[in-house]
Amino acid sequence: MRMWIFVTYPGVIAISDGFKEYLFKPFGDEKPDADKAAKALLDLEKNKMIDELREIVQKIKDSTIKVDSESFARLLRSEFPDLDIEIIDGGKELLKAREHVSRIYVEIFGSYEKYVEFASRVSAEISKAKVAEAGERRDLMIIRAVTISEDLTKMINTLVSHVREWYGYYWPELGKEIEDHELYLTLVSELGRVENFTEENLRKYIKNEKLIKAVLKAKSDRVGISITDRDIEMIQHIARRTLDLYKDKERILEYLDELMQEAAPNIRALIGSVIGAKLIRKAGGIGELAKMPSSTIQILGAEKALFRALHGKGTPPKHGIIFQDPRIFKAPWWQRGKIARALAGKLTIAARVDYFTGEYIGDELLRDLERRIEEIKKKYPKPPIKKKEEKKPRPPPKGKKPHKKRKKKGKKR
Amino acid sequence: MSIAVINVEEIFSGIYFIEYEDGRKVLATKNLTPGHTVYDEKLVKWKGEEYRVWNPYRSKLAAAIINGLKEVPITKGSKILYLGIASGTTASHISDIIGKSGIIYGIEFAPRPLRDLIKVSEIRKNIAPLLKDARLPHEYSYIGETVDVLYADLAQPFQAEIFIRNAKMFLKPGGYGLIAIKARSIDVTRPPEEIFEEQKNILENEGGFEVLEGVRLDPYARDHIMFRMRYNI
Ligand SMILES: C[S@@+](CC[C@H](N)C(=O)[O-])C[C@H]1O[C@@H](n2cnc3c(N)ncnc32)[C@H](O)[C@@H]1O
Repeated sequence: MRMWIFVTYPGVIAISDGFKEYLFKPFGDEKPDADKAAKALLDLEKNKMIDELREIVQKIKDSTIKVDSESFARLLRSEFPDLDIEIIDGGKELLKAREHVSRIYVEIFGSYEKYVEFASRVSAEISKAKVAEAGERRDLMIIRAVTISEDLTKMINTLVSHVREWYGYYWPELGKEIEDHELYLTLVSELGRVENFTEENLRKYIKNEKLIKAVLKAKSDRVGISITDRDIEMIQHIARRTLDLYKDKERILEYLDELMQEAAPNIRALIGSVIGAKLIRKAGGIGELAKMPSSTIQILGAEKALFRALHGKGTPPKHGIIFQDPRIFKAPWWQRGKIARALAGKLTIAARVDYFTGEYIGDELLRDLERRIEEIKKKYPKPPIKKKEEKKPRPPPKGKKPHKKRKKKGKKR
Repeated sequence: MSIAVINVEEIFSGIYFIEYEDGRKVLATKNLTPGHTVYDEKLVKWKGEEYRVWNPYRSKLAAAIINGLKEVPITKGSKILYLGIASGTTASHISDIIGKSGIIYGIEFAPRPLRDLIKVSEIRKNIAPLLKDARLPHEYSYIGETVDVLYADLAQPFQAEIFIRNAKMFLKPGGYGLIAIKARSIDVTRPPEEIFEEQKNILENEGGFEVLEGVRLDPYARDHIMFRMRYNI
């Protein structure tokens, strides 16, 4: 037999191929329960197996099971590796089966209207759990999070070099073989003394055979000084704490990303959570960023260079924080200013939409930007021939309005 | 509110023209939840019923109807999958039309508009809000059933492709599609007519849709079109 499986708002449904029979296991005892349904579907979204699904699969595990997505098939296989699964991710066959689901809803609830009320309620519960509660000034949280992540990076770097030098007294060769900091810290904290670096133990942490060989070679080459158990114990302790800091950093970056998704989805789409957050920090908030002309956004973070230029030293900066974006810094130098201007233009729109409505237009902005960059690359494939006379120093402007000049320039496009 | 209403005429199932004394006509739907508004729409009472004025500058479906859409495939009891529902401005009028025996599965990717929609759904119990990316329809496979109408207003460059993917998973064969297309979302450099023609071809040749009509939404939404389609697979 062949059976479709659908996880739905009221519960798990399995329908036979000819649509004659079906099995239903509600979320809840006997009858569908909205809270239980919301909980189960949230688990499912995290790719967790749920009891109701397990129960249904148990009953029909000898049939061929038809599902509508690869990810769902993977979830089933994780618990029932021998299951015969067919994936049909769209088209008439799937739609036919789904049409029968509507009928089953009516049978479950007695009327379609009751299903509607149930589905709406469960859906709202799920969404509420995923949308953070409304908070004020999310940009303050964004600024804090990005600053902490930077400080964590600094702390990590300091501690990593301590551990490398410290353990390096004892076994200098290991540091040369293991460049990845996290792996180095893991090996030191988990294995400690050199004699524990056996092939078997190394396999637990390293997948790359060549690297395992290299570490074993470094073991026989070891020329470091001998240290006490107390020394090793302290090194391992600090290595472990440093690894914890890596986890902390990962957590705060996840938090930052959630905040950006909520408060600045379009800036995030254009330039990523971290650089986006730095722009917000420099501007002093999303509202402030939204009010800036794009020429200001373009050089945000390059105030020193601008100041110098205004005093006749050097040329005015073409980019500030946004230079950290690889689309700019990886571009040839003569294209950078143009790309920076295009990116800043899109960021201005993104910031405004983020500030005022929060609707997502990120894909459109991104596509427009990519096109513009292509254009720039096509139009300016070669470095310009420098004209000598262009180098003449600009007269220092009077008054204190440094943005005036730039503004005009930014408007050209 | 000084100008009196002189007539209310049902032009499509659940969709009305309210005629004022001064000759002005406005589009409206009958309020499913009397006394409640969703955005800043006006409420009008006529013969013991309450109507919500439907603003074509705020809603592309309203603009299409005013500009002469020949048929509205949404009626009482319709099941709708709505891609890009935002905070529910248009959806609230659809909710009026379909009544309690219909449902709107509303897909929205941005958290802030969705938060407002959740509040709307607490009063209008025929809206199921889903914080999801319309590009990944299998992530809301738990809708379970098919829908009668697929509606999209995403302002996305690959909206037609997204529409087709969703249809394949959820739209009843013989069901209807409504899609609002903004020319500059697709391409800023080419003339709108050319873009609309190209999108139509994608929907017909790759999606299995038959485009029944295309209605321009100017002046309410510039360089936009709405296609009404039948799903012939
Ligand atoms: C033009 S607005 C829709 C307005 C709404 N239809 C109305 O009339 O009330 C477009 C919406 O689509 C959403 N959107 C854009 N891309 C999306 C995606 N991939 N998945 C889900 N929603 C998306 C945006 O966040 C935005 O709220």
